[in-house]
Amino acid sequence: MAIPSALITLLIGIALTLAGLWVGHNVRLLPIDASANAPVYDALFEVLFTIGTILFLGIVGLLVYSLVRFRRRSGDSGDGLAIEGNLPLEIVWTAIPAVVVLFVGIYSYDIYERMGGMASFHDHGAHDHAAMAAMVQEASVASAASTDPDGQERIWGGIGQSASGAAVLPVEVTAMQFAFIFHYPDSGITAGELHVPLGQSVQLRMEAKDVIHAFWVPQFRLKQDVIPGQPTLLTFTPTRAGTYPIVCAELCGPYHGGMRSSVVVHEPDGFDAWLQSNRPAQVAQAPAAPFS
Amino acid sequence: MTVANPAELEQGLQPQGWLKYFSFSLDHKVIGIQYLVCGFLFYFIGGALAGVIRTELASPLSDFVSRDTYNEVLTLHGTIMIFLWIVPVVNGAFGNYLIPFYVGARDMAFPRLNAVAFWLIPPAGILLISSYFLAGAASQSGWTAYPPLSLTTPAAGQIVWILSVLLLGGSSIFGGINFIATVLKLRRPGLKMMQLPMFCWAMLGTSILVVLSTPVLAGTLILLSFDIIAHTGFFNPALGGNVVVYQHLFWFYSHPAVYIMVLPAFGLVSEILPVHARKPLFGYTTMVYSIMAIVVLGLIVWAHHMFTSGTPPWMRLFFTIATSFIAVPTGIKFFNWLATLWGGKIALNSAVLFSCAFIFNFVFGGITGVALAQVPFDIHVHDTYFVVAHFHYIVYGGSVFVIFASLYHWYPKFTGRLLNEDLGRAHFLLTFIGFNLCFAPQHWLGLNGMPRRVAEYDPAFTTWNQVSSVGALLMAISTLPLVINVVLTALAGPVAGDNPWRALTPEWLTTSPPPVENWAGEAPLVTEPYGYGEHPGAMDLSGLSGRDLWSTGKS
Amino acid sequence: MDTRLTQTNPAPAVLPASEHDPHGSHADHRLFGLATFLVADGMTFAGFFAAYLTFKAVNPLPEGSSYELELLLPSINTVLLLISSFTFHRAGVACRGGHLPRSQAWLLVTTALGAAFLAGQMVEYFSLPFGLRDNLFASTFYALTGFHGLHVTLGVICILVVCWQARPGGRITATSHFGLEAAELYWHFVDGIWVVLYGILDQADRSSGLIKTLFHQSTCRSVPAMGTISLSVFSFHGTGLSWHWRGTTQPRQVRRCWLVRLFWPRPDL
Repeated sequence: MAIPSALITLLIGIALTLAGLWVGHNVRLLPIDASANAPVYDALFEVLFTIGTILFLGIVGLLVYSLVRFRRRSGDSGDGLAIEGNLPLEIVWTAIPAVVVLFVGIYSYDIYERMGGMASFHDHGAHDHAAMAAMVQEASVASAASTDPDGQERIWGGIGQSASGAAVLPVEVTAMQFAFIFHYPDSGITAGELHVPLGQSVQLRMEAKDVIHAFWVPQFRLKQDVIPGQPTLLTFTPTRAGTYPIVCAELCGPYHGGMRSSVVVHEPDGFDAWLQSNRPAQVAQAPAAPFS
Repeated sequence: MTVANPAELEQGLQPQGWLKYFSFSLDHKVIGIQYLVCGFLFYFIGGALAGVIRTELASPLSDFVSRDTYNEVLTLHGTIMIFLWIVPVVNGAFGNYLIPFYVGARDMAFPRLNAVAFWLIPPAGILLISSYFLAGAASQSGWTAYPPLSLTTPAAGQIVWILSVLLLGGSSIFGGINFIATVLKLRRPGLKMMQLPMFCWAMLGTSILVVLSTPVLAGTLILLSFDIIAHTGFFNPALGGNVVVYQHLFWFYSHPAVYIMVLPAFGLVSEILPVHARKPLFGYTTMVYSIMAIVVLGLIVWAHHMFTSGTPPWMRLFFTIATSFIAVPTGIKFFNWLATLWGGKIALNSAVLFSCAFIFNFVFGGITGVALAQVPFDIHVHDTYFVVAHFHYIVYGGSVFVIFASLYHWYPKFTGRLLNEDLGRAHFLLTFIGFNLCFAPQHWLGLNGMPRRVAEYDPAFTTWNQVSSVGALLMAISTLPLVINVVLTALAGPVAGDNPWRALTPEWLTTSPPPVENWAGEAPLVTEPYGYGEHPGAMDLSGLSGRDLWSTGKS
Repeated sequence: MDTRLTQTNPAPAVLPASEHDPHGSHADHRLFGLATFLVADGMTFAGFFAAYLTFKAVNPLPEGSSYELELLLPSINTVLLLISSFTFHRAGVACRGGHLPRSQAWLLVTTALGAAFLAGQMVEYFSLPFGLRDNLFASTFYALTGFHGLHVTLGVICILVVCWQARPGGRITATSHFGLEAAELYWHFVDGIWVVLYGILDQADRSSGLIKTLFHQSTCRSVPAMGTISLSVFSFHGTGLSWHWRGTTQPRQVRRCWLVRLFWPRPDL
């Protein structure tokens, strides 16, 4: 044949890339997005899906082609070529994955930073959570033990707030076998469902009472383990009104599969109405912290 | 030697014939077969447990077994499949059978330790399974046994689980020591390291991982049992302990455990493909280096299992990058296998089909693995069915497919008889279709909100769960042609001859099945285990496609 | 079966031969196997050390927790153990030189030192003001030293067995002494572990004064981590990086050892 194999390789590469781009862009595998973080996540997903499709189709195509093209014909008991290696080729297929992996790593790190994953847990705690920290201090010995020497509450990990300055709605989440309890320190409300206003940043301070649980809202693309003895944070901004499931994602006992709740994202008016209708009679006297 | 020899007397007292497979035999081949058969028995038990899981998940309600039982079942399924099936079979069975041949020895370095290592397994397995019946309840905290859940579930079952895993870990360490000593110290004079078949390197790397990481798991489980029995507070937050430390220590073993299950499979594939493609293994040296790179990287990536566990941000960053980079040496191996196939004369028999399906599955699982290494991606899908799908693509689509491929490849060596090809291909088709039908939909389930280890789920997920259960049923059915094939062939299969594949590796340069000390005469010196093929110099290169890519690299 | 293929090697003339070589075609690799096993065993300790360092770095103790340790007795113990390594080495040299009775004598000295170490550990255990379950520090302390003590006990038993085997007409001779070499390697390993253990446990927790000051300086925070090489990453776990158990109100003091108290009573008592 007159067509140089380099050209064929190039054409196949272009076809693969186009196929990958098409699949990544058009095959929707994720649920709807309902938080500010979700579109960012979906962009990362699309990139990973595209690269993955190109690699997978390329490798499987090569594999199937080899199996068909180089299958042993009946009656042929000869050998193939005695090719033992090719250094330039090895360098190529070491370098390409290394570059791809490095790119993916840096890109996902950037996304993670935009999500607030790299935020320090101590900066905002000082002012946003003054009330909460004070409450923790007067709570039991266990809580006092998890307090820094300067009295600031110790947060062990999670997703912090990426853009500082915006007002956050603090919510305390207590997980236990087999339920989540949500407490709003500002208004004193305690509920079994999470109600949040659209467009406002919400910060969950989570701690478990018994075993490890995990707080997961698939439509927010966010998950954080809720650990006994180690408070964690999860910050998100809902962007789509509606009701979404909260799922426990860490094996926590026999009713683990049934440990579910809902997060209700209200329009701002609706959230105020919910606050009004659920506010306890004595606002000033906040109930004891559910975690102790 | 004279008769008055204690060792010989002892050998004389050893049962012969089929009874030797139930004896404390010191012959590495007998021990290998013992591992293999024992592993398959546990595979069927673990598979039945998987059947219970998929039956339960065929409907969104918890209606097949009780919730406690369901958690026991998933714990036993994970523990059995990892510690009693894949690890003993890819390491113990094929390692013990093949390594002495490959290094040109008549047995392993420490035959008695080898037998001890095997005989730890059946009691540990029986102990583990019997906890379901005897101790009142088996462990319910998953194969990860995360505290505080493992401290609050029924203690007897958890302690039995710990005891059994400790025994299996001990067996694994003894095996690892034996492999390291055999590969490094027992090589036939004149045989250099870089002349060894690739499986030796894979087992060396695996054994290094076993020796370095398994003891950490043992220590951790001892601390966990202290928490359960003596009510200390290492991992009990109510007593001032730290649950995340357990996770670090646990994954310091259990991530390398993935490589302990997969590296030997890489080695086995590297043996199978060149023989049936009639070509040398492509890029021997880079294959060796990539194994060692995987070993080193495998030890420093454990915390990617803990991205949602409240680990500090810098740690997530480090483990993301380290984990992603494992894809590089792994990728090298896959490209080398493809290059091995390229230009060969590939016999499309069951061994090759399973090996190529392994490449297909593992590439898929590897791509989802690189995605999972990215923290923001992982935060959404961690502990969901996406992860379940991912690791089944790695350990089932990877290791188990290779076990099947190896069975078809080495069965003639074990028994002297060739397995039936038609049944083999039926087995392959059913397994491949069933496997992908079972696990591919689980990616979608995980992405859309189904967590793992649940007995009940959102009814919106019913359809794909039922598709998955049908796939599991196909996988269960696929064992029938395998069992029929193995039994019929053992009874009346066609005689294979000593070397049916015309292979060059040393295990084929003796009779099938081999004699007690492997070779009647001196062990052959095989310096080119992959010396297949016609030399490129003797051929007209211009007649080949892709010639500019596949030349010798000197142009 | 061809007679050449059956086992033709005499049983090894040495120790519990859990892995004797039936062929006689290759050299004795048991010491290599033991060394590999000790690497594995060392990793168990490394796991414990990592857990200990992490606990110490990130988990505060409840107020009023007691974690005072003696300084002198463990230091004496360390010296005893180091000397015992030397005496075992002398025993090995004597054995290889063909002086078995002298070797036995050195072995007995080593046994005595090992037993003294264990006795010292017992005294410390019974004089400590906390028990296994008192707090996280106490639990880790007992787990670490207990696991090590188990190793020492096993070592002492091994030495006694070796000593018995080195009797005239015993298994151990000047030319065949695997058991002795294995026990020696093991003993040195146990000593080495103790030095690391003493280093991370004792330096940080037993003493006050200079070391404590050092540990408070942020520049020196990572020094102990460097000392434990491979798993040091554990010790940084958590965001609050600190090398001290926090949450205590009592100033830490070195408890005067019972020995000192016995022979050198305080003037004010």
